Amino acid sequence: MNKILIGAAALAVLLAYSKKGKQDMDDTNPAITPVQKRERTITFYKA
Amino acid sequence: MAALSVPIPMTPRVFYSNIALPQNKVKLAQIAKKYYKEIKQAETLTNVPGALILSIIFTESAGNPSVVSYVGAAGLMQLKPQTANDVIYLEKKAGRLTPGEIAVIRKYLGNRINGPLNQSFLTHKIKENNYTGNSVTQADMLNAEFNILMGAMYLGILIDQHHEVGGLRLDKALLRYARGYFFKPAAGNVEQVLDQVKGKSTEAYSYVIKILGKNGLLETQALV
Repeated sequence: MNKILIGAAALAVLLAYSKKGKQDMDDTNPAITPVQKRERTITFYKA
Repeated sequence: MAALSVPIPMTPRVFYSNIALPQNKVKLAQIAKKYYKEIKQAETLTNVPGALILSIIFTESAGNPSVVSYVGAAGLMQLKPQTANDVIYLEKKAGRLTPGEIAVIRKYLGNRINGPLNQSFLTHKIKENNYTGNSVTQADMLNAEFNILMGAMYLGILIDQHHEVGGLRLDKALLRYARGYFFKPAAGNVEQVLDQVKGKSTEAYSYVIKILGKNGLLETQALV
């Protein structure tokens, strides 16, 4: 029984680690929103 | 949301001499004429200025839709298939994909659009040689309409990530377009950012000045 519990715990750790490895690298970039895109108005002016 | 105003030139640094200006103006006009429909459509769908899209096309491919770089960046706006794939994924993830964009993407990808739509993380997270190309391919990137829309959507993401307290930092957005999505520009004003990148990549440094600098492509388009 103990072996089964230890095995299950090890598997859970492994799965958690694996999931962490697949986290989006985009998490380090600022979030973007639909409003930003929809209302984006860029104008240029002479410096 | 208030309009984002960008000063042109954004930096007094110069890439193109006065002698190059008439030639650049002619070339810009030729590209604008040839791809007017595709650029206008991308501008309408993404709200990224056509003048900026045109400047990128000029700089990246000189208007050649078939050019492929040694790293696999392809077409007018020189995007890798992986990047286009991730642009679709990022826009979907942020709830920003519009029906108009989906229609254009589906026109070229067909059911392969489901690849990036069903992704759960960026393909760039996977080593690039593991990318199987079963969603967006290099051949897709050689279609002008698809390429320009993907490039504009990518620029839009970068632009939206660089609204800063002092205004829109187009210099940083362009640096990341040139050096890759995960490139981190230095903190500081435009000149400090350019000084920092100058020591790391002459190509990226020149890229920004070609577009935003004095005699740059935006200034040449007489939009200011």
